[in-house]
Amino acid sequence: MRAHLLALWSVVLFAAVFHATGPETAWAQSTVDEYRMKAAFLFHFAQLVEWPADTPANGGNSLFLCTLGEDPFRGELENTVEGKQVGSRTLRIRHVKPPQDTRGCHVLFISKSEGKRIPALLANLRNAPVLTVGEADDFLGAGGMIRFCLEGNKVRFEINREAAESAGLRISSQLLHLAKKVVGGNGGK
Amino acid sequence: MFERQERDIRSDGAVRLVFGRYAILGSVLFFLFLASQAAHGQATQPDLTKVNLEDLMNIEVTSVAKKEQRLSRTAAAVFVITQNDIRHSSATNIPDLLRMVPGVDVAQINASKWAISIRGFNGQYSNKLLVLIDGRTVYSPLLSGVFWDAQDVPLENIDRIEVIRGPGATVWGANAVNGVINVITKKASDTQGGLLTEGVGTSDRAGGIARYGGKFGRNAAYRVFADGFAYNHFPDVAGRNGNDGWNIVQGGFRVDANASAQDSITVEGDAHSGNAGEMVSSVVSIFPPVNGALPFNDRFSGWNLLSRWNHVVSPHSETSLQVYFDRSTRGDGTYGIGVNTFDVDFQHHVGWGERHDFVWGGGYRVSSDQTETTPRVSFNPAFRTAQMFSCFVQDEIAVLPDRVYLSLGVKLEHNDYTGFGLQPSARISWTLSNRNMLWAAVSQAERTPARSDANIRVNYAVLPGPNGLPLLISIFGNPGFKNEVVRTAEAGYRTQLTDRVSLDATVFFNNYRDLVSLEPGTPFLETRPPPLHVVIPRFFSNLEHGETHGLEVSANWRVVNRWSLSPGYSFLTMHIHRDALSQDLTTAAGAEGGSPQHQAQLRSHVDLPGKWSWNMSAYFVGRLWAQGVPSYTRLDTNLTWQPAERFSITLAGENLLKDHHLEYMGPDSTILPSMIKRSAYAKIAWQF
Repeated sequence: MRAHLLALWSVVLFAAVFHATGPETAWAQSTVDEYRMKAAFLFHFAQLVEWPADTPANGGNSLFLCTLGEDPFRGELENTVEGKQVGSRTLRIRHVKPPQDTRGCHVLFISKSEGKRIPALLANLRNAPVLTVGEADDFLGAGGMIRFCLEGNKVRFEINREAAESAGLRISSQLLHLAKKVVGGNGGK
Repeated sequence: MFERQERDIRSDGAVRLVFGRYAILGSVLFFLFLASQAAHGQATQPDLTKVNLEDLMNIEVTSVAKKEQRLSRTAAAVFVITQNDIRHSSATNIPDLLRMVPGVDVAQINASKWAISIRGFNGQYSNKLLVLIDGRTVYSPLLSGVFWDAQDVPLENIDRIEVIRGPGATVWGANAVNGVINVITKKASDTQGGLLTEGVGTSDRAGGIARYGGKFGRNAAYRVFADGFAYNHFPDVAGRNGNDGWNIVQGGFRVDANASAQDSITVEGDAHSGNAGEMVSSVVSIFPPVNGALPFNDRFSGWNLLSRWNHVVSPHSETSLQVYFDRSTRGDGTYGIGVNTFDVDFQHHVGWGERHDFVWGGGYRVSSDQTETTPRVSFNPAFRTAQMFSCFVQDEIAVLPDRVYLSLGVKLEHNDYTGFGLQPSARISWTLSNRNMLWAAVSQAERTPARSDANIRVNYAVLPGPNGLPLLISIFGNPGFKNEVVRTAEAGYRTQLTDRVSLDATVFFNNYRDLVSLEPGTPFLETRPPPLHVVIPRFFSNLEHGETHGLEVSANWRVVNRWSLSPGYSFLTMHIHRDALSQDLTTAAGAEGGSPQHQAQLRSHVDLPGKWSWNMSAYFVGRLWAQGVPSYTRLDTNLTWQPAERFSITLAGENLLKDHHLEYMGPDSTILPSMIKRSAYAKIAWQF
């Protein structure tokens, strides 16, 4: 029995040591959680998009970044971008559940969990000055404006320019330039 | 043989105390170590918003999505019960939730007991199914089954339930012979704020949960909760009081912390206490020989503490270390058992080159039990400590990247009853397009003996014998009990038929050998307990074999945006035979006729205007011909109103079609079954 206890503690010790001393690199080169990265992307999107002057959400000095559906960010938005300044506005986070009104948002992240409801949600927001961002496979084809994708282990995005322009949103050329793909029309994929 | 066992009792008795203290100390130390990591490791988290977009695009990320992608190209029969499935269902406990998975056979025995199995061999202690809660096994090493009455995970805390039909032996280990059910609870960050639910229903049913979640700083979140419920009794088959009222009280917590960008730590624990009544058929007196069904109160309680540390080494390498301690006790006077389990598990998920994805790991588990010796049930030895060592490796090979993947794996286990066992598996998946995929698998898995197979004695019934000498029918465990072995071939097809319809179908062929049988032994005289009587023994042995095959289909149809339907169907046929040397005339037929051949289901969900939603589920279960239980159809429905994000009311009815029906009357369990009654309940949930 003693031998077995010894074996047990060696397993635990080995595992703990292996765990703690894996080939680690300095923080700058090591990896970031996917949604912490996407939270930062959303912040940059907010900086590189112009809303029309008569956007209903423009009253006040807050810029509302909303998530709809099961939230994959799990607090990353509050940790990373809440309270930051975008132009003259302060970024605020809201989590909304349908059919709550989403027009009060400047940026609306629609979770993949909404699945089959996404086309209806986007149809509801057509031409409204809300920057819709999502991850679902056919997000752009359904009328969404920006879609996250992963290339290897790096975050990329695709833009549906026509959807944004018909909503009166002006996407900076810098953002268009960095996009993996810019789709002009509603045909999507 | 007796001497050896006595020595075991003495040495095991001494060791048992040391082990108990060691294990608790070990878990507490580990827990403290992790807690200190969490507190200390508030590593500098650079502000990504200050990095410009082009540079951000060059940093690699680690993704949970990869695991999800993997699940959809998994070469196995997987069904995930999602949070939506749980919300829409009228079920108030895990066994009733499992009815929606094709291939899973759920038969309610009485108000608190279920016989649940996958692909046949159903029974109160169904032993070919591994059930885990957040990686902690709730399969009893004593009675080789799951005590569902003590597994009270509040449904509001469940993130998803992954049900894998078929041997999950390579990764999950022995006893995952016909399947694995893994209940995964929500992370603490998903259960923030307060939640109060309260429900009342017919059959004097009431229950509720109070939960609160918050944060420690920016990188850690916690939740604490307490819940309880009570059900009154169902009628027995003759309409009398079935004496099976059930109540349970539980409290628990969970903490999740990001100790650094690469480390996440989870610590969770809970404690429960409850009781469930039952009618137990047992020997009332040896002389005069009287058997009877008497009411008893099964009391159970336990606590557990689990910690897990995930460490991301690089985008292609991730490790996980899990340690848990679990103590459970139960008994009703005719039996009494207590089990301490300590388990350490380590896994490393690492990619190698472009085409290989390895998961390998090792584990150690030690279970120490203390049993009461009663006139009805006893174990020999009464105390035993059993250890299990295991290691496994699995490689997923990209034969044609993004198209064809071949997975080869093997698990090596050593346990105190049967020594070494090897469980290999080969799986292949072929993604035909982004709308459909085919998969196939062959594996071998084993069910290792539990204490009940090796060491139990149950005094079943007493008969008047010749010359006034009573005959005591007893069942004995067999210390030489072997592993039950299954070889499986399965194949499946998953498709997104149209944008609105998806389908998942599986076929399987299982070949079993060394299945449990009951063999007659030589009668012998016994003087304790007095008076003198003859014992007619039957011993567990491994002299049955057979094959089963079947089909499972589930589909999802979004009829219109507001209405979706989920039909399902499963077919199972079993051919079990006794070996040439066996004299067991009843087990084979009992197994063949103890699981339904056909099962079908249809679930419907409608989103109504005004924040109402209406759900209905219908289940058809075929008859159990060996038990005289006819087929039945169960209909549940619920109407939910959610006027605000934080408030909802639900009205539900279960088993609506008949006033009462019978689902299980197995000869294997010594408790009397009850009729399952039509019932209704109302529930309020308030978040703050």
